[in-house]
Parts: sequence; structure tokens; C-alpha cells
Amino acid sequence: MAEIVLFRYRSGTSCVHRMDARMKVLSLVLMCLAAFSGRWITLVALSLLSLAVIRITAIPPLLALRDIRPVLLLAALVVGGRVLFSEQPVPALVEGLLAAWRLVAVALLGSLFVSTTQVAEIRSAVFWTLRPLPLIPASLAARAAAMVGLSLRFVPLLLRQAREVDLAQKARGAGSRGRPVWRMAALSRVLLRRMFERGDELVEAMLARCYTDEATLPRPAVGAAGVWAASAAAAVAAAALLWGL
Amino acid sequence: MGADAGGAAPLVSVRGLTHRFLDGTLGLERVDLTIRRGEFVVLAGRNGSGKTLLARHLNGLLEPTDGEVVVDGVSVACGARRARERVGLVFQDADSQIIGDTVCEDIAFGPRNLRLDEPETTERVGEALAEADLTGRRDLPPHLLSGGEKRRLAVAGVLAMRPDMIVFDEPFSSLDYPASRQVLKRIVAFHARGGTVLVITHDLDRILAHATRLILMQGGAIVRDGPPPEVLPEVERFGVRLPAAGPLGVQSMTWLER
Repeated sequence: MAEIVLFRYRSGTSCVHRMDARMKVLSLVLMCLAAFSGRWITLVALSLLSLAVIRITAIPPLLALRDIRPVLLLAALVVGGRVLFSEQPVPALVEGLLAAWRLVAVALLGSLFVSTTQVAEIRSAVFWTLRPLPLIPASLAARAAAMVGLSLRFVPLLLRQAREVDLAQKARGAGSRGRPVWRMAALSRVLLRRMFERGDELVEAMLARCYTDEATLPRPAVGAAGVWAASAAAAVAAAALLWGL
Repeated sequence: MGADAGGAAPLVSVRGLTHRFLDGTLGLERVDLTIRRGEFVVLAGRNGSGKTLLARHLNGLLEPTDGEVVVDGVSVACGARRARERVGLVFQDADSQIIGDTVCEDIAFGPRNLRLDEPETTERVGEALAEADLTGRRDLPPHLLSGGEKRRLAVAGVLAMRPDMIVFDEPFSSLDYPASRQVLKRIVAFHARGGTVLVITHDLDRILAHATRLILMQGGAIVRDGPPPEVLPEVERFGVRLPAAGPLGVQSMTWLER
């Protein structure tokens, strides 16, 4: 069966898998900040960090790149667009490559985050981050955490449904007569309806298993690996912001 | 009419249950039903007869237009959550009830909603994995499981909540012979441990040998209710296929080793 791999968790026992999700989110945010603030040296550092994570987690590198195929395509378009529409192609190419590298770096880091973090951990992280904040009741924190978790959990499902609907329509000759706008509209109509139906089924399934905002959520524990990761990310972000490296 | 279930206490009592849809269509009409602890009930009928609709009332997923459902002495209208703790529901489409992104996390969803602490949750997840023969799959994403494994995962997710009764809605749909046998073993094992079972199906072949009671529905009402040997000769009148082994006796239909 063809697999749609975006936003998919890959199980493992590496230190990255076991890291506190809150530290991973913090590190990710700092590294994204660095990616868009810094230049070549920062991007080299982020790329080396990404490679290190790929090595530690034993995720096949080609698979990691395949996960972000749409972003690679977008990056190529960014480079091509800059060169084509610039009067000075060489500087435009350099800036285009820089912009593309930023996109790819951020996408790869995000994909690695999702690949190594279970939705339940993300949900716990959101809950335990929001809960201590004043003016946010525990039920609201739990509800926000559940929404984040469900959104991430069902993005692959949404993509799979879109693929199924597209194939079903093609099997009945859709697309053979051109009219891409019409086809897109037909696909969207069906997909939207299927998603609402799936949402209803999901609500029933959750209620049937006594869903509550006050479910016991595992409490994450900050470990040494998380502190190191966040520190490294902070160092890279600082270098990018302060010195523009 | 109704089966004599001996002196076992009623677990589920349905009295005058009526369900009318928003467009006025009658889905259930004054259904009366008592399910006692330890029963193994098969609920059959043609498509649209009201079987799944009835099942969704048993754990409070739907509210009746009229009538009442009582689970373990408490009206579902007053305590839907309590009803859902007592009566588990395995949906026909396993994909729609798989919530976790690993097998283990999906099974843990129920116990966490019961506000059990982490050690208790871990223990129940381990037990459920073993009962469903999914221990070797615990860290897999559910979408990589086969159809039968997904169905067993759905069962495990309900087993981990330790309900008194489980309703299985078309548990064998889309399953091949080996997968059907695996699911059937889990259902029979749950019943053997003292659980109460309600299986909704229009395919009696696979399950009837293990049932203590067969109920037929048509047009939103119960039309026959009794021990399988008594009800079986009339099934075709109500849109249910008579199993090929029917004339040889109900016990001969089992898909499991005797």
C-alpha cells in the first residue's frame, strides 16, 4: 500500500525519542528562529544538528528527505523564481539558495520533531505548559492539548482520505477531460464531507471510551538530554541573532 | 417473548425505547429488552433494522425520543459516563475508533480517561495487549496493522477499560477467515471470563454456535427473541441468511476447534 508519510511518528528508543517534548518544542522554536535570522554558518550548524538527530534516531536519511518532498519542490521553485525574475542572476541565485536552505532546514527539523514525538507526548507537553499559567483553568489547558493532539494525529488521515477520494474519482474517469478547477472542487466537496463524517465518528469513539478533559496525562520529566538540546539550540539562535552568522 | 436467562441479574434494561430521527423517520419503536449478566446475545436483522441504533443507546451515545435505558441499575440519562464504563462498544469501522499513534498509546486512551494512575494504566495496557495477542505490535503505528489486527486493537482498547459488557458491531466485516477466527477467540474468551456479550451481525455463521440468545430486529422493533435453536428456523423471514450448517444444529457451526 502506498504510504503518505508526512507528520508520522516513527517509534524508537533513542535519547531524542525519550526527550521531554517541551524541551523538543523549545529547541525547535529556537532553531527555527536561528534559521531565519542567521546565514550560512548558522544553516551549516543546523544541518549538522539535523544529521546528528537522523543518526541518533536511526531514521533513514532518504526517508527523512522524502517526508519533506513538497518543501523540497517549493525550495526549488524559490530558487528558480529568484533567478528568473532578477536582473542580476548570480546574487539572486545565492540569495535564493539561502532562502531555500532555510525552508528545507526548518521543514526537516519539524519533520524530525514529529517523527520522534508521540501525539500523546505533545498533548502532555501542551497541557503541562499551559496548566501552571495564571488565568488558564486546567480544563481549558486539557482541551487545548487535546485539540493539538488530534490535529496532528489526523493530518495523515486527511491526506490518506484525499488520496482515496482522488483515486476513486480517477477510476471513474475524472481528470481525463481536463477541467482541473472542476476536479479540485469535486475532490474538495467529497473530502470535506468525509472529514466531517470522520469527525463525528471520532467524537463517538472518544465518548464511548469515556473521554474527559481531566484524563490522566503522563507528566513529562526534563532530563539531561533535553537540557543539552535546548542549550545547543539556544547557542545557535544567539549566534544567529547577535552576530548574524 | 424473551429468553429465560436464569437468575442472573439484569445488566441492561431497555424499556419502551423509541428513537425518531430529525426528519421524523422512526428508527426504533418501543423496544423492550433485558440483557442479563453472563449472556451471549446475537442481534441480527437486515440493514436498516435498527441494530446499530439500539447499540448506541446502550452506552448513552444517543438519547431516546421516548423510553429509558438502565445500565446496572442506573438510568443512562442520569449517568452516561457510568454506562460507558460498564458497556464497551467496538465499532464496525475499526479505523474510526483508533485514536493513539501507537498501539500502546491507543489502548492507554481509555484507562487514562478513567483517571487511573500511570502504573495501573501500564498494567491494564499490558494485559489488553496480551489478551488481543498484540504484544509484539505495541510500538507500531496503527495504520500499519492489518485489518484483523486493527479490529483486535479496537477490542483491546475496550478491554483495557474492564467493562462488564461489550457490544461488538459487525466484528467480522471485511475480515478474512484467519482474522475472523482471531476476533472470535477474543469475544469467546471475554465471555468465558464472565463478561456479557452482544454481537450485532447479519452473518450468523461465525458466531451463533457460541450464543445463548438470538434476537431478530425488523423495522426498528424486536420481532423474535429466544434461544438460537428456537429462533433460527425463522431468520430468513427477517432478511437474515440461514447458515449453511443450520440444519445440522447450532453447535456444529463453530469456527473454533471443539
